[in-house]
Amino acid sequence: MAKSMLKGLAVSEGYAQGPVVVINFAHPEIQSGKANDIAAELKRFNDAIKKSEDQIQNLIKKKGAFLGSDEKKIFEAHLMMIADPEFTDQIATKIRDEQAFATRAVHEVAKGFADMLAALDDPYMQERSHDVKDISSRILRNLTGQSFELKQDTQKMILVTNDITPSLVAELDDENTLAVVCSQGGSTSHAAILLRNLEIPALFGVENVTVLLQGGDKVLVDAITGDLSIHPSEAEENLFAEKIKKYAIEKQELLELKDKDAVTGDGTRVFLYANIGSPAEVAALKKFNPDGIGLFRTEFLYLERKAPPTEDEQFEIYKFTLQAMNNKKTIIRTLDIGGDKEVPFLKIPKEENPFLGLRGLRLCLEREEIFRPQIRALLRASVYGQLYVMYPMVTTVAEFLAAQKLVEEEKDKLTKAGVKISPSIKYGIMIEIPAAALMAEAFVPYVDFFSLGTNDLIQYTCACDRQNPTVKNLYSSFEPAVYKLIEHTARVSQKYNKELSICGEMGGQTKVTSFLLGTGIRHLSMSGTLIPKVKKKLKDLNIEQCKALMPQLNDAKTALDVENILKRPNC
Amino acid sequence: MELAIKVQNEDGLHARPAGILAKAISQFTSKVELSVGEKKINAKSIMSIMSLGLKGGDEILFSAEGEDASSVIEKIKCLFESNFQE
Repeated sequence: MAKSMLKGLAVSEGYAQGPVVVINFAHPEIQSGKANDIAAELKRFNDAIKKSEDQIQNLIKKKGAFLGSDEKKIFEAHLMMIADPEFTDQIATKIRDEQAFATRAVHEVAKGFADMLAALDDPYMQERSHDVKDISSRILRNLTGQSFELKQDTQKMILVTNDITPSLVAELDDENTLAVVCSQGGSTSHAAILLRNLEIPALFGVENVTVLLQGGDKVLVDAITGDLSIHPSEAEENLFAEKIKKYAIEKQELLELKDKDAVTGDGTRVFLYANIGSPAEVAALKKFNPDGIGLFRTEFLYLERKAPPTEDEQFEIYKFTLQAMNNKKTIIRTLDIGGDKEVPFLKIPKEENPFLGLRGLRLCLEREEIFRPQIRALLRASVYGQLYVMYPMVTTVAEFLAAQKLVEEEKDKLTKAGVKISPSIKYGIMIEIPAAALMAEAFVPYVDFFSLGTNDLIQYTCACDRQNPTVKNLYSSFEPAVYKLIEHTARVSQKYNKELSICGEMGGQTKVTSFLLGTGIRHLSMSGTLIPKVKKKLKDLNIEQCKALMPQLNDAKTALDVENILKRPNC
Repeated sequence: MELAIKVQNEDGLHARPAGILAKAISQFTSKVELSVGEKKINAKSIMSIMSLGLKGGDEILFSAEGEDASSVIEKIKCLFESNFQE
């Protein structure tokens, strides 16, 4: 038995080693010829449809907890497709008119739809064509009485197959399936998404793998590099076992961190929040257990639509989000959009320089018919949680006060109409414009909190567009000029006891966490997926050591100087 | 009864909105057809809707025939305006 190394695409991360079970899926037999008993064929078809629907409902119920909401939608879409009147009518018609056996009718009609979808110049629709094939497979198996359950011994094994569908993945015994290796498949296919959710390592596109392997053969699955080792030597197996152990320990550490408070090595509590851009992302936050939402971007409500969101629509979304956060601090940012984005109903006049133009709070103050419904929706939703309202792109105190005047007016109207509003809503601003950073003290009497939008702060301070390849090298998370602004803002916040958080990318970058802690900042907001990493980093940091960095950072003359200081051990 | 719509979403109509649309229309007894250009399909069929491969900017036409034709047209209008929020 020759030893070999095959290559595939790692669609679900991890490592596995063990014996394989090889399954070559053959298509259920399609009967050609004419059926004698049409009524019987129609009944068989209807029974198979019903059985298929039941199976999928059971699947959703049984595995629902493991399937993300997007994945649950795949199976819900399967149900909708099975119930599609065109689909079932065309099959019934074929059985009647052509005296076709149910298997042939299902196969041909399904293929027709699958081909139509596959022919569309859209990878998303091509994936849907796989869904149709998946449903067709299921119905055919039910028609021919083939068991749909993957018979697995209660032995740990690696599944090697020539075809993988979401239905199959959902049926897997995920306790005993160490990994899945498939000769076909794409990384964004739903089967891949499900495998990731179930945390089963998987390699796709390993050509001919079902031919090259036999049941019982040992393999090493490296679903990080995409390598599959066949018939490894004992030495290789042992080395791999070490790799697996180390990986499992790391994963376990991250999992344990989830329920613990974020603290530094010396026990100082740091608060980690999540940045989100839609209510759909709220559900996924559960696994990161953030201390709250540090930034809820509301632009999704305004983009890709032909009319602005109604006050009621917004109210439902803010209410949902506040309730989901269970009274944890939830910072919702008002509309932060400008002339650079295509929003037809806003009709922003063409500007020479939209990034220095009518955007963010400026736009909202100019267009009260857009701003007031958002404010009203926020006020109405405030009773459902701990709401912080944050204004973007603020330059002057006057702008903040103008916004607050509007808020007071709407609060008045709502209260007179008998609507309850929370008495403890906090109002604050993004600090992303250098003027606001330098003049933070001027805002102190009026705002309840600040949040540093470091991305734009860097861009405006260094006058560079990070998307512009000719100047993006000027954009750096180590830029000393920006550090001075951050430090100044932190000092002002601490002097007057105003909450300060970071919601820009720097908040989630472990390479600069020590600096942020050194300035006294204790609230960091980031993409949910970065929370475990930052939590882990915090344990390696010591507040006194972070503070000790400050004089050196203050002396730094270049971004490189700063980077070198922060690269030191324990930083 | 007819309703002309311009598809707003850049990506066109994906499975979720197509499914919501088909499901909602199926609750009504009227016959509803969806046409874009030369193609015309049964709007109660999620697969048929998807197979149209609609893209942002496409001008589509719903035509309903039956007792509850005006109600189904109204429902379709609401769905598009709310961007398929359920």
